[in-house]
Amino acid sequence: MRIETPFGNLARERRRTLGGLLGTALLSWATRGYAISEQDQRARMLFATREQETNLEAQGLLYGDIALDAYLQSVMDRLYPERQGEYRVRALRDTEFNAFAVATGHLYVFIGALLRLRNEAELAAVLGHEGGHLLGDHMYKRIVESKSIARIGSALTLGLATTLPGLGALVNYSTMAGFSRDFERDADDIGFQRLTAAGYEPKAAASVFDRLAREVADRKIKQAPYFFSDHPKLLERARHFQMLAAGCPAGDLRTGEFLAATQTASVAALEKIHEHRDGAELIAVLCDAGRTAQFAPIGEFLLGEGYRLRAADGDENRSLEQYARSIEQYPHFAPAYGARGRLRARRGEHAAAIADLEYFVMLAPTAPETPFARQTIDHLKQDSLQ
Amino acid sequence: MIRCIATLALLLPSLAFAGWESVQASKRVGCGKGDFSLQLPETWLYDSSRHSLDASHDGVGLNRITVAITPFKKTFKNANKEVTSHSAPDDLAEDYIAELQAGPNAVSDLVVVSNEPAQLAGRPAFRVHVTYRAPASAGGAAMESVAIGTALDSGVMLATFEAPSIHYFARWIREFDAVAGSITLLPPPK
Repeated sequence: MRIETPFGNLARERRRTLGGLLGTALLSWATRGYAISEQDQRARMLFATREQETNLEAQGLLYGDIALDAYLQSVMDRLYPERQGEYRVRALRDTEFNAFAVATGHLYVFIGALLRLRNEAELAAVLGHEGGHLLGDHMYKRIVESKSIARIGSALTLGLATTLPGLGALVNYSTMAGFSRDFERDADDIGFQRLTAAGYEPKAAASVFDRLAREVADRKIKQAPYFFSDHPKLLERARHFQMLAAGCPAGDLRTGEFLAATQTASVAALEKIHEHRDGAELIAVLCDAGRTAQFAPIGEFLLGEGYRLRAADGDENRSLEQYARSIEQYPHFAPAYGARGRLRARRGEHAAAIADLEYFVMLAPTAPETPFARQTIDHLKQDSLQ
Repeated sequence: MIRCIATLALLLPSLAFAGWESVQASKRVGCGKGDFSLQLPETWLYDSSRHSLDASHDGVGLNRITVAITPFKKTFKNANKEVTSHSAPDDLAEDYIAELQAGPNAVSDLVVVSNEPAQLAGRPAFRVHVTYRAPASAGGAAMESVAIGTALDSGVMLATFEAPSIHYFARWIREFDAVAGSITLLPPPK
């Protein structure tokens, strides 16, 4: 019987409702056996993580410096001596200020983080925090809490795919996936406790957070893909570490050991940032006093490049000053002459540009930029004749 | 309804090629306001109805030559790079590479194979050869491209050739270099 009502055909509505209920019942019956055990859940998580780690290696994202990895491992072993052979640290070929751990017990430190850290104590603060997530079993607990790894994954992929290309789905299984405030606080506390127990300087943890917060603000990064989450939280946690450190005795910084072990990787990170043409990032990592000298002779030149590439008001003069400083300190460092020559040519200072570029060609006859320098010299000379 | 769909199915492919013309032997072709002219290889098709001149042999997804003069403000707008008529070729090359990696159509896995000085329309220019992966929406194929560019008084002149790395790039790159070498800043003879 068809009963027409202002809301439509009642019989059809009833059939639909019954059909829906029946469908739900069938679905519940069909999936009744699919509540997986903790053991299975852990096995799945480890399987997926290992698969993604294999991809990471296959893509050549590991930095692959055995001596550097051994140094990073030695710091980790000092922090977590009872986990030697279980927690394994390696450097990743990426320029961001980042590090993460995965459920297999592996930790990855970006060479961009090594570039920004100043001493071994700061490195220990980063590794201590990541180790805290491992010790607290946070990766597994997050999956249990969120019920579905797919849900975590989809949310993350949106935010991180553009900033961390190549890491792919591994992000979903790592400490970069983001944790609740409780888990982060837990990892902070474990990390800080390990830092001080290992005899490192307790103030180092707050320094790392302060520097990271400053960079996020300077580079106007809105959604930081960092292990330490967003900007306001970074400052809040820096204050937390300052409070924790207030009552602690001073510890080791081990600056010399850190710089000796990480110098090559840090310069590689700087060159890669330059390759990406990210002026703001170059400035962020090199503008503090003494930083350019640490990466001599390339530091002064790259800060000049940072200003040239950022191209904000006044940056052209700043970059010229930096190139001049570089030339004054390292008179045989060719790139500074080439860069200053290009800039002077653009400003119409032809004679000075030709002098710089000719000197550059003499110092670096086989550099990739040399053919362009020769082209510019010829062009400027022809212009001068006309 | 079925007739409508059938008519549309017949019309759409022809719409896609509307404006495309065959290259006539030894006849130079120009574009837009007649700012430049060039010689295309025979057997190619070209479209000069828009602000750029586009040419292809097998379809724009398989081989495409584009030559255009773009106003300075619009040339590298995704990378937010300022260009002037005084910009040096190496600066332009740097900005061009930045543009490829910026904005909604940014390519992924970009590798700069070479970046060297060149000549375009008798002026100092850059020649950049890159490999990259096409966006997933366009099939995600491994692509290869060469761009030759120079700054003019009216804007940046760019001649680009783009093709899949497999077969098509190597097959047609010499034709592109010949086309780029034939570009002059004079309008085609009437």
